[in-house]
Amino acid sequence: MITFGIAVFAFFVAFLVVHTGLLIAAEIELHRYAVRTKAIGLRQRVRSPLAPPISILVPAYNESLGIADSVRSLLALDYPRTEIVVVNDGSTDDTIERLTEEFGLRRISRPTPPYLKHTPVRGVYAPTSDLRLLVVDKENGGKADSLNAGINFASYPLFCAVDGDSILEQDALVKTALPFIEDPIRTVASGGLIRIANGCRIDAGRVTEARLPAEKLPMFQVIEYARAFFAARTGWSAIGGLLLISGAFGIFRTDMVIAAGGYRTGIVGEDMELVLRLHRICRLRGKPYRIIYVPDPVCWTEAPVGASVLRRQRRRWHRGLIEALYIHRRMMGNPRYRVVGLIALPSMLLFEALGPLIELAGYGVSIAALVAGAIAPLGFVLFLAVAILYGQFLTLGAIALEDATFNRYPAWGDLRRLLGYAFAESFGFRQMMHLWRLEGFWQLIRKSEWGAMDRRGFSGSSPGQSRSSH
Amino acid sequence: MISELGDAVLVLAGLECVLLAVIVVLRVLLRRNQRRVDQLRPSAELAIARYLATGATGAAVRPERRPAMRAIWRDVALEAMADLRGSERAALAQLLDDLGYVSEATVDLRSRRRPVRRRGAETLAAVANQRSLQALAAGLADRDVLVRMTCARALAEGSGTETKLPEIVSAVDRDVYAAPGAVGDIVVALGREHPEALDQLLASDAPAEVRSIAMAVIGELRLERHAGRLREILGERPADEHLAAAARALGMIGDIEAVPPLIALTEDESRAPATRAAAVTALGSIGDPCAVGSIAALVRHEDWALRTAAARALSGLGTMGRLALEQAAQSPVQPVREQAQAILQS
Repeated sequence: MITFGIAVFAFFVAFLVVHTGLLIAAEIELHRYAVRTKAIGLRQRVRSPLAPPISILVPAYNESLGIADSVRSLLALDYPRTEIVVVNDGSTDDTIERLTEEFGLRRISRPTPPYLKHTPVRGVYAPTSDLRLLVVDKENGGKADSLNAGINFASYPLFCAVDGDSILEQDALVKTALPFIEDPIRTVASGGLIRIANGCRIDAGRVTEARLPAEKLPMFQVIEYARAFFAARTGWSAIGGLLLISGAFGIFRTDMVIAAGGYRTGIVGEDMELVLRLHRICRLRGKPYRIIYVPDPVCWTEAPVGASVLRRQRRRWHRGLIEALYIHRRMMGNPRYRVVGLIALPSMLLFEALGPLIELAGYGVSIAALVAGAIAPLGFVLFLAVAILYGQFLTLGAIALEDATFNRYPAWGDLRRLLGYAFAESFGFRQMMHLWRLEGFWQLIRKSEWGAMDRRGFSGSSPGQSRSSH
Repeated sequence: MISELGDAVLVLAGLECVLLAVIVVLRVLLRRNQRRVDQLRPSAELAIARYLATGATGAAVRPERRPAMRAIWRDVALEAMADLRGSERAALAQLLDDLGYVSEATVDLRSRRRPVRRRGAETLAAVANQRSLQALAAGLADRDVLVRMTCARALAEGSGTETKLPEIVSAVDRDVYAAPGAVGDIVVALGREHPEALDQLLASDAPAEVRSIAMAVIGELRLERHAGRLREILGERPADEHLAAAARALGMIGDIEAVPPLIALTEDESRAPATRAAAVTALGSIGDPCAVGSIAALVRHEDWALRTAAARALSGLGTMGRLALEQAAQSPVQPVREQAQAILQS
């Protein structure tokens, strides 16, 4: 019992040190970002003839209803040179017909480049007008496979992976591409902020008014996203330990991703796995590199409203996280990978992958010890209070960072709701998420083979892929 | 143990209260600031628009004394200047000077605080008149790389700054690894306003990265005067990435004299396929049919990118190129045949 108590205490202290450090690093980074973007004249930089052109890759599976609006809003993004590559991943609905009708597509002859492997291409379509749009129709192979096909057909040195059901803000691409414009040699990948679109006013594929969701579960997810993006990712990025760029929105160097072998198929966490592989390859090459999170560019995505969908999402995310960590287990604790190997990966393993298990086991053992009279009731209550208060402190810190920088929910009523949910999160929601994540862990253990995951397209896949780091 | 836990609870609860108070205070301050900006900004925008529309003299605009209003005025004017060109831009720059912003920015540039120096450099760079040049030149020695780069870009964009070119070039050489993107902007500005300065950036003793950026800019801006130096670089047998950059630039310029060295590069099997592909693409852009023979041989190359570049280049080389492409379209090798057919149909 004493050993267990020491282990729990050590876990708690490590959690406290790492997360307080991240919060401080995030604060410094957000301040730096605000000063830098104010000084550099964003529009002027993007007008430069040296601003790299970007291929925007949109994997689509049965997205007939929204795909035309998505493509139109992507074509209207602020960025001088882009092309849109839509990859129809063997949709069983009329996605291709809808695109053909909306954009006047015709079938063209285009051999498939051999850089990355993917399922066979059934046809390539381009508009009769001079729109920079290419539609690749291929057999079903999943999101990673579709992105690999998109990378093969991309003509530009950078590509941006976007979910078909996400909405990018007008200047999101400019802001996310800025690290590549500022430092084209070292920047390998950059990701932007994902926000929850539930409750927002959306007109013609654009978010015209940011509002908080009316439903409870999406509200809790707003809190999780704030903590994950404002505190964790900004902090990790500041110290060079960013492990995840959301599959919903990220820009990558095409040549580097091709050299790395593209997205790994047959796993759930292909976005995190790719970022880890890029870290690994860049370190082994021995050249300086940067994988950056930009805290401002916004990609809006719809969060699950129902408990069953959220449960499936969290189980899948947790499986994806553990898969990625397992595949790159040799990097863990390896000084060659510096911050990534020595701090970020062990933290991810301890607090994210094993965190739910440790926390729930802690609750169970503490209650058992309380019933057996091994610990005093007051001690139990106080320890629980410390754990809950510290979790809330981190959440409040993330809300404070958001408020002080971008303040997308300026109404006092919104603040009241954010704070209310931040406090309520610790009483039920958090434990439920841990339980669902453990289920994902359990599912993975029961599977005998790594990589034998369900491949049924990605229409129900996570909009954000933003595993919360709390 | 229990007493320590109790203390921890108290500390954390206290910290949460402090954080809550910080959030509320920040909100109040931000809202007040926003309200003030919302109130003051329209009058600044209106005054600037009226000034530009009527062509009134600077004396007709009443100088603002309140610091908040002056800051808003400067922000509005700088935003407007980013979109203005020619006489309107010059008029607004003159107005900012008349209202004392240049003097203020010159003082800001000597501040100890980095954000203030950056703001000063941005203001001076936007105005960039004769009075601000001295301060901008002094800014080249600033300890902050962004201030140095802002000043260098403004000087590179300005006219009458020829005497400052050596200092700009040395700033470019020194800061290329710290701020390659900003250096790119300076080289673009030099290419537009002082193209002769790019000779120094192409010198063999210039940092490798500076040479790459200079070659990219020469290509993008089609600066024919540097074609000779680029041909020399092809002959110097530098690293593959420099060869590719020189080839790309010569292709964009459309330099007919570069055809023989580019053909030699396409045939050089010791070079990476990507470098040879860059030379092939350049030959396609130049459009001299005498390159058809060399390029046609590459349509059957095993490297996909090189093969594709060759097929595309042939489509731009007139009847002879088309004939070579039609021959490739009959090839028994399926990928070669498909590639050629796709180009012929496009």
